[in-house]
Amino acid sequence: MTARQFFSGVLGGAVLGTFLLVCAGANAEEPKRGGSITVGLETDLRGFDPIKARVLGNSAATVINVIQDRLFDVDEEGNLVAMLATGAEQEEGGTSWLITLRTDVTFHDGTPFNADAVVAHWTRILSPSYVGGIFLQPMEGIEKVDEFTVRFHLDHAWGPFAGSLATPIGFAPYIPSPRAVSDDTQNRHPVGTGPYMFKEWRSGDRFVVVANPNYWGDDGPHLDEITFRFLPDQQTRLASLQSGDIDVMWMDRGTTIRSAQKDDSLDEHDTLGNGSLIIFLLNGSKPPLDDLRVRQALSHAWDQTLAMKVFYRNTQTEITHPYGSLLDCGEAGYRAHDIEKAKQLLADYGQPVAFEMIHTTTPRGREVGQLMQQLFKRVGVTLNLKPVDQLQLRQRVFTNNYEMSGWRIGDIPDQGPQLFGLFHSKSGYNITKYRAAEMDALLEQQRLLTDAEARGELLCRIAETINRDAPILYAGGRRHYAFTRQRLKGLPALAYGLIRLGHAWVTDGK
Amino acid sequence: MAKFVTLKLLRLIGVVFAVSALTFVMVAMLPADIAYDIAGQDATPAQIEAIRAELGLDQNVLVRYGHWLMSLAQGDMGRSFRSDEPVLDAIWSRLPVTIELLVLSQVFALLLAIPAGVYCAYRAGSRFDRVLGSTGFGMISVPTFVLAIVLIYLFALRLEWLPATGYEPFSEGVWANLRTFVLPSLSIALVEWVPLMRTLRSDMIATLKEDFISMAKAKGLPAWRILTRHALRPSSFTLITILGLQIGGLIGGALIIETIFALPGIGRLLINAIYARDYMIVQGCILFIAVGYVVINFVVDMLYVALDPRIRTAGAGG
Amino acid sequence: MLTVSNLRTHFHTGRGIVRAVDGVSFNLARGRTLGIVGESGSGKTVLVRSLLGLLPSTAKFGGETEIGFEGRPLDIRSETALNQVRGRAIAMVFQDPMTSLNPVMTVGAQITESLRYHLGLTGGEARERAVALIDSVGIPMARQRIDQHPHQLSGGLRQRVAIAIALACEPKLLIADEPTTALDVTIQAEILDLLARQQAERDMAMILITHDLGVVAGRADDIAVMYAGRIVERAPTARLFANMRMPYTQALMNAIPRLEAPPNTPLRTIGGRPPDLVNPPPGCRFAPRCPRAESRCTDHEPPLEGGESGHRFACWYPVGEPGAA
Repeated sequence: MTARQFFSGVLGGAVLGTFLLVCAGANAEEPKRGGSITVGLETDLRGFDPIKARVLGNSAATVINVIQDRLFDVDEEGNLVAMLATGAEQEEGGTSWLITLRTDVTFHDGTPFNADAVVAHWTRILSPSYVGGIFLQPMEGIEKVDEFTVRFHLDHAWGPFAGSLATPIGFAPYIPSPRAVSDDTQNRHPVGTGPYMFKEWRSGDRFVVVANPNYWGDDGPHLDEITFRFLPDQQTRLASLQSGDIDVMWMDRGTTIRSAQKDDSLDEHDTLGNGSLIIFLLNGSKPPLDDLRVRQALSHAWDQTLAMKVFYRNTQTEITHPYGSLLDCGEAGYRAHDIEKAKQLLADYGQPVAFEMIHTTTPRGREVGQLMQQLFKRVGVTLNLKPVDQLQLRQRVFTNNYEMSGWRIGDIPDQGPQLFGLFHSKSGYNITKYRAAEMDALLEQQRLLTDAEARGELLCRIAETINRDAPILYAGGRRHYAFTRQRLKGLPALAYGLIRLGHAWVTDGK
Repeated sequence: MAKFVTLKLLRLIGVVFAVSALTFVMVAMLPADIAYDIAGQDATPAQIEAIRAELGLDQNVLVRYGHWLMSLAQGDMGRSFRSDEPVLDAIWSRLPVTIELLVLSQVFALLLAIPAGVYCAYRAGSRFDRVLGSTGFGMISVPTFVLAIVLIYLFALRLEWLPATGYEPFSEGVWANLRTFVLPSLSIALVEWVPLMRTLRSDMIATLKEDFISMAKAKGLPAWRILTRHALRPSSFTLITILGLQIGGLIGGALIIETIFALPGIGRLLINAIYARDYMIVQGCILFIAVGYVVINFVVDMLYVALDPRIRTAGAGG
Repeated sequence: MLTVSNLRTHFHTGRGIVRAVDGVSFNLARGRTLGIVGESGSGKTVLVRSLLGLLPSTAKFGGETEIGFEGRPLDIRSETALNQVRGRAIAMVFQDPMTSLNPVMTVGAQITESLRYHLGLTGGEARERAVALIDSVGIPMARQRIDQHPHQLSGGLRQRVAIAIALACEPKLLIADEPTTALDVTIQAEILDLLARQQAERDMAMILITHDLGVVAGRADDIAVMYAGRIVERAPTARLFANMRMPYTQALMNAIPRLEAPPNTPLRTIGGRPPDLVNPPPGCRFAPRCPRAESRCTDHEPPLEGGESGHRFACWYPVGEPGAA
């Protein structure tokens, strides 16, 4: 079991010695300047003020990524790359970090980028009013050291710290203009330091950005303008891509992906991430799921191979742990589909097993429920299906009013905090009510470890423990897909499912 | 006339009152609330409670309705809980889309329905009439979204004449704007022309049996002139009623078409707000739709008066 | 000017062929008035509607049917041919002015329409002509009336409007289909007089249809009595009234309510019902209702044959001759 390129930049040493340049998808061609593109997004955006908008969805992340910069970026291998920061240094055994900042950066509204901007933003992020902060708990605060240096204070040495500053998912890493925030305009008119500047947001229709002529970086902006259009229907979004109305779209449906692959005029981009698009929560506080044997039996009754075919047309692959491309834990003691073993465990349990699963009223939700019901029936387990709408499902999960439910594990640079939230007995986010002293110990240890290899081993042991105690079932990992018109170049890999357009250019540009 | 308008206004206020109260209660009765949408999937129960308290969702429904009414009375429709956008702005920005879609779709529907209905009535029982009758029956049973996808395939992907999705405002040019509305309007029109055509046909058949049509024929007028000048207007009362109903239905109900073609209309705003329990937006949309219905009703009544002089005099006399 | 020869108008219905008009022939000269009299269902309305092509598409004409108008054959099967004469040379006034005027068009629009279409008049000219027409049919305040809708006019005025419409293009032949039946008794005479006056002024031929022999008595030059789709008696008016030969004509005569009769005198009606036109009785079609009928009447159909001075009738045992018994 080896940790593979796991934050080697951060964890290998106390100081970030080398910064790798982000490579824009192995492009031998020289980027052309000019032109514009249209991006098809699935949903409208909520806003760009972390406290007002609260959650940064995938669509909004695509947009914020070109407007606001982060202190660091992570490349496809998980290495940290400098953006607004120039260096990061661990202090006091990892309980604080000293971050030095670029001195030559200005926000789109003319406000200078400096320690005050970083402190103002992170103070809000770490305040209780920001809901996205639950995986940032070890962070205690931030202080200004000098004009271009800040210091983060932590509860304890925390492996995922640098990753948390770099993840392109979530509001925390994106630094907004402190003036836009204090003027209360940031939410609907975002201002950052990024390669593109806000131009127009027509709610429900489109969001337009234009090139930032004063961008501090060298690689971009290459385009004059990017228009993000909100196209909620995946099938017509594909039609728009095929007809050239849009240049790039993200997709997650097996059927759509398969038909896009057949179109020669489109380029496919796919990247293996981590986490899982669908997992199933087995509520350990509700009988009969409180019995280990029942949960184990269910994981043998579950057939992930079949699910990949049915749900995704094999555009996603089976997983045995949630680390995806980050870490190779092998089989990790995964309980493969085995009807006999399942029956054996149920016989041991000795009582009839019947419970309810809630699923969404969407076609995918129904499909998932029906497959689960059939698989469980084969081992004599009665699964009752209860379709509910998306919010009701969340409500029932969060209020511990469910037995089994679909959920997901997000694709983030470091799974540690997320798994801690899900499985630590003291965590507020422990929605499966799974409690095991051994798991608690492993989760606590991994938090403190900064050695990549040792931490990787711990994480794999956590994966094994998950497979052993079966609080969740996996339904595939997370491979991200995007398709582009051939004119669009300069797209890096879809790390964390994000289409990053900061370096994009078009072949018909000037 | 003034009395008539006052009566309509009073009725409007009543409708708005009843409808807004009803929706408020219904949204409140839906399981879960906007806090679960706002917080996303990575939140703790404590955070969700905090959001709920912050938004005042922990208050009684009646209290919340009272607040809403009070603000409304001061001309404030509130802000979206989700995006912080003022409700009035959200509706206002979607209004041109909804109006254009419903006008164009009904214009297309009428362009199909009137000639077809008139001709089928004129040649009732002919082969043309029968073929069109069963075509109409077939079209009305095709779901709108299937039609939409077929149209996109034909006109956007095969012929490449029109964009598959999207919306361009008038400010981008009339043609740019119209291009984006052709397919969505047609998708609606190709279904909705059928009831219009059938109504017109059957009313027209009845009209053509009238003495005044024989009279017009005896005047030696050609058939087309009799059909258009003499028979169409007296045959169009039910047509107008159906048209009014269809337009009313489209104010907030063009959801599927708006979604497929990515048109930012009221329907999509409303349904997304319902899914998210964003009751400020829901209330705003419902309010607007109720007003829209009443206005359309009023216009239909006015059209009756314009079309039928007998009503006009009866109204003046009484 | 109008010759009708062997007109057969049959309706093809689910029940069979309805022989509404079954072999009718007559001539009408310029300036003359022909009264066609019969019960409802006798085929008189179908007869004149046939001449103008105003029947539903289920109506079919017999192969030997020939119509001549002003010395030329008129193809009543062709809309194009009919439109050459309709509204211009031949015009029609309908029975019920409540339904024959378009309720949603102004009086003026309905009059000027023909003027503009047939005579190519401009809006202003047509309007002036319409005012003159309305004035000539005896409607006061023509200039105001022209912008009114039919429902704002009384029945009598409406019928005057209908007459004005018919007269608009100076027709050679005016067909008036029970023009007074739907009107108040007190104005019936006014309308009939109006028609007669206009006819005389314009030297038109006229066909006046009625179920009431009294209506045609002083106003028609000739009278044709129809029964079950056929003409059963035809004569100059004076001669007919002097000497009715057909028992049916006599029965119609007796059915006229008489003002001089004492109050509460029961109306004399004709017993029985008109025959089924799908399966008309053999022989004389009136035989089943005829008090004078003999076996010959039900076996053989009497031809329409002449007595003297153009008086023709179809009867084996005419009134005024001894019966078979």
